Amino acid sequence: MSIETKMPTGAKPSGRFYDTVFIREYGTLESLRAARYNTCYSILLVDIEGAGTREERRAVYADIASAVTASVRSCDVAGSNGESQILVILPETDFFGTLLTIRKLARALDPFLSTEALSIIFSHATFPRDGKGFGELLSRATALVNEKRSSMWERMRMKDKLFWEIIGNLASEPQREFNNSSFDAGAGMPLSEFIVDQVNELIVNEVSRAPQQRGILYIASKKISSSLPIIKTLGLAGNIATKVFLVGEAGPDLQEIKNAAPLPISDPRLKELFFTFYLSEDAGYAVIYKEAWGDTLSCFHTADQALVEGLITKFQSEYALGEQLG
Amino acid sequence: MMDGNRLLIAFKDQEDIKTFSGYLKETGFDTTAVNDGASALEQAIVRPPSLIITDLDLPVVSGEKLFQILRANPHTARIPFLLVSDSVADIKGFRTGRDIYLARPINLDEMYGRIRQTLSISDALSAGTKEIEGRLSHMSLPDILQFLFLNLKEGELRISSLRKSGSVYIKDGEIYNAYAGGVEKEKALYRLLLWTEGKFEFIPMPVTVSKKIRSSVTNLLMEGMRQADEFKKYLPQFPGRKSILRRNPQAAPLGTGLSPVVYDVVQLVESYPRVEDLVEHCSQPDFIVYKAVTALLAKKMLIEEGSSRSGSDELESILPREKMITLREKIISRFSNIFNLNYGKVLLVSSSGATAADFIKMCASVPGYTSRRKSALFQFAMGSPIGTAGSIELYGGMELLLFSIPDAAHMGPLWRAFGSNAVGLVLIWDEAGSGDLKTLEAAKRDILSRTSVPVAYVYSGLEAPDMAEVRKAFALRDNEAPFVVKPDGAGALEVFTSIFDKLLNP
Repeated sequence: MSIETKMPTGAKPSGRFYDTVFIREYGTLESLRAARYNTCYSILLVDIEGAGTREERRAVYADIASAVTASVRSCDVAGSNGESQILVILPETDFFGTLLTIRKLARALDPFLSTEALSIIFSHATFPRDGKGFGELLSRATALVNEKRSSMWERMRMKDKLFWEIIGNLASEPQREFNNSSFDAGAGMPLSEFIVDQVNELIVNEVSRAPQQRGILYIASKKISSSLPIIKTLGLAGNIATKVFLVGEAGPDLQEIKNAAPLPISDPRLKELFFTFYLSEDAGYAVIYKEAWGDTLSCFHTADQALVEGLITKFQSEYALGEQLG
Repeated sequence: MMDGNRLLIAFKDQEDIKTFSGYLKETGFDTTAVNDGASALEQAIVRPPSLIITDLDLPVVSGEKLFQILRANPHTARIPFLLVSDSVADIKGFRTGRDIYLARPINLDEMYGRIRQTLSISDALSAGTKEIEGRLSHMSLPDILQFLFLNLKEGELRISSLRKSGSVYIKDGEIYNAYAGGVEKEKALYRLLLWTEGKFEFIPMPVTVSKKIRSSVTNLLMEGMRQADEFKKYLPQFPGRKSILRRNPQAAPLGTGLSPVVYDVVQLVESYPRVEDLVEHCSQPDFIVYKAVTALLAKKMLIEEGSSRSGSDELESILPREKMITLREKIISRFSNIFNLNYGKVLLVSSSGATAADFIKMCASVPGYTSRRKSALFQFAMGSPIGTAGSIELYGGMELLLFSIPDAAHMGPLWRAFGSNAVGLVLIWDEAGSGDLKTLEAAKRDILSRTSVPVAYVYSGLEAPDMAEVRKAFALRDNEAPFVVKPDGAGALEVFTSIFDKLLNP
């Protein structure tokens, strides 16, 4: 495909793929525009790794660039950011809008991933939360590529696994990092079995501290009943912008829940394994609990945003839930 | 028909109409179905529905066009939409939090949940649906409640006074529940009855909260007014809100047959020694709790430490006012998120839950300290507190949250995910945790690699630890030393003043 080289102007013909100089200049202009009009915008990096010889890599790069250009909106601008990266500027797009664009691109690029050798990482940064100018956003997005490459989601190739397979693995394999950690709770342990409710309450309290902030929260338990402590906490939280879903078998006494939508799912696996997933612009956190013998719980929790987002995506897709992030 | 809500369903495919319409009728909604965008437009204008469910792919007028036309019309602009399509689409004018977007395949239970949520938000947000609004100085709360009772009204009565707000849910004129701050039921209602300044608004809406207040409106008002009058009368005799209470070790055990509030107070005072915290966490109305506390003090079952009376509460502060203002500015300047400018967090990373719980109890002696209010789990949380366990009030509405992360070895994801707005770090250990200072040091390094905050080292115990060992473990400089905090709270204040000093003079 041909690569356009042009000086940046206000208007952009759709469907073109630009060179590095243009796209970076365009990014700088977009940054100034967003600062001037007090709006947001995002940049998205598509990092391509692998694909054999130099010629093969160039061919794959060109195909991927075409697919990206065809998938983004007409107002988005895509261009080259070196030999193995594609940069897309997304005007007026916030954190969650960028995540949805990534999902769209991931679907469009899925055919390229059938080759074992090729790996594609999406990373992103949003103005103003990740930086004050285009340079800072690009640095943040580049750093995120490295973080994502080392993320558990990529390392363990969880993309190719089923949701409950991932949950089972995470709950059973001990992890000892600050980002991903396993612990036990319950009778005779330093942390009680009420940690489930404590963590849920912690998250809802964090959400209600910034009620205007968007986010998504799935709380899965054995049964959704009106006696769940989290229902009281949600009731006291005031109106919140975060979408909260309570997942599990619906109890007979279930009534209207303030600030949350029940998601009745009767899955026997939820009897032994339950979870909480939370994703917002500021935080990504997931915790998985597995019932063990003697009223104890084997738990895994993570602050790895890529893993949290991946778990939410898998959960939504396997239970045919709405594709939403915030 | 569910709460009088009518849904307009627009799909070109008859099969889709059958599925959606059938399911929603079963759940109690009244539905109207059409096959094309033009009919949907006509129906929406002639008889505006509560919500429109539409496919983006509609004949004659597309779903997106329909959405934009109706959004631009002032008569239909407030109708929420549920948009359905086969793939992710960018819809201009989509209102996050109000409109719903679902891509196929659709989980009908999820769709139902989202519709209910949107309709309840929509009811609450509808400007112009406020039936009554005014100021409490013109019409008192008892008068409003009587008016709503006599007219058999249904909806939410919202009251706001300065920085406080509360709600009373009313159905058929009866009071179903009330909320004020972190409390509910009669306790909240009686508290609201004391508010004489502020605004109120009544929003007619279907009330779905469960009935938690059983008494009749007349009884509630009479009892509430009685308690309010007696509260004013006895106020000088009640202990100050900031007073610290503790159980008298010499007192005989409580007998049987006493009022339940007495047992509650005696139990809660162990976890909440400060009077205002005790009152907040006891489920009984405030006046009843104050009366019980006063009686227990008179009978020497409780001992009051710090003797300010309720009438003479002084505004305590940890720092002089000028320093407080500077501190507030310094804290605000650290944050970029405009939603989170009114609080900073001090991360309390401890070797165990019990150590964290002990330190938090000791913080009760710090001026301006308040223990966590909105907790459904305080009894368990006090054994091993996780998350915000208390707060220290700074100047201008800013709070310093004490964010507890026990068991440092396993709780890294908590500080990584929720450590934003951190302004300080306190590392806490006791004798049992002395053997594993390496973990606390590793936690400190991880936190400091992400945010630069002042650190305080706290040993919780009667005797000072082996200083050489501590200095080596944390690589302390000559001018740094760990604080030794004793079970009576001595030393807790110094921990926070040292953090504030470092924030003020970095």
